[in-house]
Amino acid sequence: MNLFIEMSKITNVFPGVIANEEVDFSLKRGEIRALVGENGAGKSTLMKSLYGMIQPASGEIRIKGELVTIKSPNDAISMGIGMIHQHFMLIPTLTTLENIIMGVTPVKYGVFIDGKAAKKKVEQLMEKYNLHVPIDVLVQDLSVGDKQRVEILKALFREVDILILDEPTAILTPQETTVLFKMMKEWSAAGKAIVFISHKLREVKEVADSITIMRKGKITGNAINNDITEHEIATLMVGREVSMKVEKTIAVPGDVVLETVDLNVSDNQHLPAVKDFSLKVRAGEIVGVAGVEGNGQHELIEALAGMWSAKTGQMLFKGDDFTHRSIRSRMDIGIVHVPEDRLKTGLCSEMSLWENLISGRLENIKFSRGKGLFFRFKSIADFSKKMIEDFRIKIPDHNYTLKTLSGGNQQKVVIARELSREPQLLLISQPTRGVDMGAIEFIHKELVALRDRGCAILLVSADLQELMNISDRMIVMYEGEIVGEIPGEPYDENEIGYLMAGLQKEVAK
Amino acid sequence: MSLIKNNSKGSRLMPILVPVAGLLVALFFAAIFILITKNNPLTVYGTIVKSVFGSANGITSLLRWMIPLLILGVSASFSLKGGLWNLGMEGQMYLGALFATWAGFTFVGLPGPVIMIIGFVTAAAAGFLWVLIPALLKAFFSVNEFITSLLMNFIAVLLTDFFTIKMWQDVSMGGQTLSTHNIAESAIFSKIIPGYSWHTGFFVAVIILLIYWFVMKYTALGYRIKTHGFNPRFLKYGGGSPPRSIIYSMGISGAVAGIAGFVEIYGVNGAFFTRMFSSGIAWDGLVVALLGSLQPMGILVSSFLFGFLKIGLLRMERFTDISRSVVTIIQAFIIFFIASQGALQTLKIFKKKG
Amino acid sequence: MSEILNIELVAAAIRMGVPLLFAALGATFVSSCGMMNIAIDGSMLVGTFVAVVAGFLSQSLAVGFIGAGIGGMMLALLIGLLIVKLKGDGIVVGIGGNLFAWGITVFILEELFRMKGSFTASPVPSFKAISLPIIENIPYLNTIFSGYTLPVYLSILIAIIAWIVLYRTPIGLIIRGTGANKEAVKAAGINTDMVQIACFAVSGFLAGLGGACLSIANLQGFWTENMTAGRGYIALCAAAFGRNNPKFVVLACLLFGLADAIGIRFQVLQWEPSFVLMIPYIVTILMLWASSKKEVL
Repeated sequence: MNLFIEMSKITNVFPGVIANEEVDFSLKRGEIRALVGENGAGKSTLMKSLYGMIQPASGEIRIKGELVTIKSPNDAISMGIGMIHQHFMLIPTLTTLENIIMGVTPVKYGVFIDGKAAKKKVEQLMEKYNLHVPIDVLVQDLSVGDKQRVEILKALFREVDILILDEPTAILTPQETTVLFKMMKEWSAAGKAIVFISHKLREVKEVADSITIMRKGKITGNAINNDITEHEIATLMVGREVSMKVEKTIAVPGDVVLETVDLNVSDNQHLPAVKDFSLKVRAGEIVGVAGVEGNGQHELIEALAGMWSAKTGQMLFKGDDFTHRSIRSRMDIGIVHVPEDRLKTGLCSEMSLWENLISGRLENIKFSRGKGLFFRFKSIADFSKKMIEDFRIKIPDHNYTLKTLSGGNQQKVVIARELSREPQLLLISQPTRGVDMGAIEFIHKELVALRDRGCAILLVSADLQELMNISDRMIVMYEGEIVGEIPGEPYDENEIGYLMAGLQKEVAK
Repeated sequence: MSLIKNNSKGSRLMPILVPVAGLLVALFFAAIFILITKNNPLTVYGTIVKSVFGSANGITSLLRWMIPLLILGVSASFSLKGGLWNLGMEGQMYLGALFATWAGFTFVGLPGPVIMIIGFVTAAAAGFLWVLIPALLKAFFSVNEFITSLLMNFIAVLLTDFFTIKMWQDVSMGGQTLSTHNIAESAIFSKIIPGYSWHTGFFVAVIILLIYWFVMKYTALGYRIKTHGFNPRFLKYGGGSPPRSIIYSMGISGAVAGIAGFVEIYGVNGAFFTRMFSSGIAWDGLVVALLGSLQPMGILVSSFLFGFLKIGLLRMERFTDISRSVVTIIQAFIIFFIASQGALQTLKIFKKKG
Repeated sequence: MSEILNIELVAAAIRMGVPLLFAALGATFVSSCGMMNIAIDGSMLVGTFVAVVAGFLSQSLAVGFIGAGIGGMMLALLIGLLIVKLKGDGIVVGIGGNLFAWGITVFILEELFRMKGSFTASPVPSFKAISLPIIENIPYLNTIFSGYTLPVYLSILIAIIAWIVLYRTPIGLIIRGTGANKEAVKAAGINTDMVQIACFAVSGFLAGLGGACLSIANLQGFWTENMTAGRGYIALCAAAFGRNNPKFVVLACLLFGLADAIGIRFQVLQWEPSFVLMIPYIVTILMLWASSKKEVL
């Protein structure tokens, strides 16, 4: 038969969660199969159990008709399965070559690394599959697209027949995505099978031969690409009709709230990350910042929020310089920050809900007597209950820790705490990363409502669709500079993509 | 960090259950070593229980040893809650004891309680200043406080040698004893039951434990220390200052360890002599804190249990030929037990679901 | 000052630095694979003890020396398993390991040998100085390069092997990769747990040898309770200071050895012994400070 892989009745269990429940999945030679579903639907888990990173609690896996148990990635690789992870599994301090040959290193005299032979073999692969990456450069110095190519080369070096790509386009520009899709089609034509995990329906429609849809750990649909519409897929993913567009009126911008003048910020390697950055954000508007991640957006927001200091230049809040003010005094004047990484910065998941909610307001007379000497547990509890209700946080009560909450609920806790500060300027980064669709809808509505109450919002997101949906105008960052300003809808995705890739000059032609 | 667990509903009993379980595990392993010495572990344990709880002398001696264990347990907890390792408690305790002694024989003319207060403050200050070195290095240069604070112990002990022998030696006995002058009689903690070693320093220890409980539960200071322990970046994001939290949490820990030295001098010894505390007394405090899950109730229970075990075994040495090193081995097993607790819990969850 | 700063000082620094070098090379393996072996000090202590005890019982220098390595390795294996397999906190387990080493050595001394505080039986076979032919006749060079015990020459050889293993072999690539990104190496199909446990074992073995140097090379078969006096922690610092590269670790250990040697020289000058004994600890703290890098939150 032509079936490469048959997974039947796979069940995966994590403490407290059933990630996959009796899932069947199969793959044919030369097929590009899209696996779609929301965050947390169990797509990655299913594929990790195929790749041996986790052992299914029950179920069978057959490869080329043969019943197998895959105990480790090593087993998977020897059976011809390779996986490209969403978060790169690369070692930044080693070179491209060292990363590719790790674990399958050619040796000479029995013990030493045979650098020459390894290099030759990798270069042949690069030729054959048209994947060119600088070979002796440290991986940390490569571009995102190059890093992904290193990942793919790593798999090809191990001579796999099946490639699992976990959300490969999340970090690519539209143009890079096109290149990737072209390559995927070439590989499938050459007989390799591909699993393409994604939640971007448009891309799925563009590249896949067939589509498997998952929701809450179960398969909700299998279809040939041409037989199903985007809308039908979305309904199967979410389990109800979703409005993909946020309802909002045209913005009525007021006075300038945030102004930066020739702002320069360095990254933690002391290299310039934000360069001569000048921007104005007005009350009552959402300014979206587009750009491939790592082009200074992170440093910009960190500097504005006070987490990181600017090198030169000025930041003005309603005309007042706040460049050298502390985080706390920024909070006091109404500058509020929702960080990109909730687990590293925005929350303390080991602490309870109430402890997370009082962060930044310990000395507030409402929450403690004597400026932080004695907490008022009664009013803290009341406040927490109000937050649970207003922001629809699913949690048994306010004494629970946030560890077991879903990404969406955790994000709601951050949003609840920060929005309840009544911000005049909101700096918000990746507001819906790793968040389910219901929560995305909720968060977008809250942001628009906040805008309508006259707040100035600076929104950074890697999700271009999100930016186009809720921004009133957009800027594009490339290598720390503003390379494009788009005054408002309609947005041209291709144009933004070119700008994100740093090709503004060609656009000008 | 896996050590610091949040006290959600199901874990109310944890601070008591963990020390008891830890003790049982340690007793089991200790039995192996007692068997090697060709003694019957059960007889030995029976004798220990009898020797400690069978007489007023035994019980009061246990309560007397709980005093430094409790104080050092709180000291360790203050740093561990902040996610920091103050392993310099031994040195801080030595310096606290030394300078409290200095205050005790320098201000002889003053009323007893005043001398005690001066001694208390000097000891706390000595401990605080000594821990400040690793704390500042950690706060402003990210130097691993674990190793620096530990190495500071060796320096501290050598420093007390110098002060005792070269500066404040009591030469009345012909310079034969390596100890300082005695502190004023009036400043010594009175005994709770006359004739037994249990002294009123016990209440100092209990008050320190209560202060720890209050600070951690009700104050912004405690909140910040705790937040620093879990996630310093979250603390900074919420407008707090990680360096300041490091100094608070290490500093308080050092001051409390210094106070432990003060209580030992003013409660028991009356003078400082070189190498007076058994090396490893600070490890005792660490074990008490870890075994008590850094919870006030847990610290109380584990200082009692561990105190019992330690005192009992040390008393054993007098009657049998069992080496006192069994105590150290037991300590090691308790620590292994605590460290692998996380693993035990994970296993339990998997069994339930799988 | 000439009594302190002379060519003999270099030789003394090397002698003092070698026990550290063994342990620091061990620490380098563990740090390279992304862990920290706090119990290096414990392994070292076990080494000092086994070297004397096993040497005495067997009357064989080789048994004492190799036994020290194996003793150190056993402890490190226990520590490694607890940390890697049972996911114990590295520092807590390490502290437990050091306490265990302390307890078990005293226990054996007291229960099996009926001695207190130090090992007093004799004879204990120990290393004798070896004069290198030709070099021993060249002035200056003979003081620096000749007249050491075997472990000194061995330590240099081991440093070279350690460098080759870490930087020129596939295993080294895997060890360093595991240290930089364990998940990535695991995803490439390698059993990283085994890699880390093996690194622990190697570190314990080397630390044990380092311990043996203290008791049967620098001293002629003498052991006292807790005789490492925190040298294992200093070795950890030396590994960190040498950026986990054996080339620099050798230099770091030489520097620490120098601090030790200078201290001993000052004692000759009737300096206050308490202050002299502090020197190695103070130097270590200062070096940690000097090599620190402010972490960015």
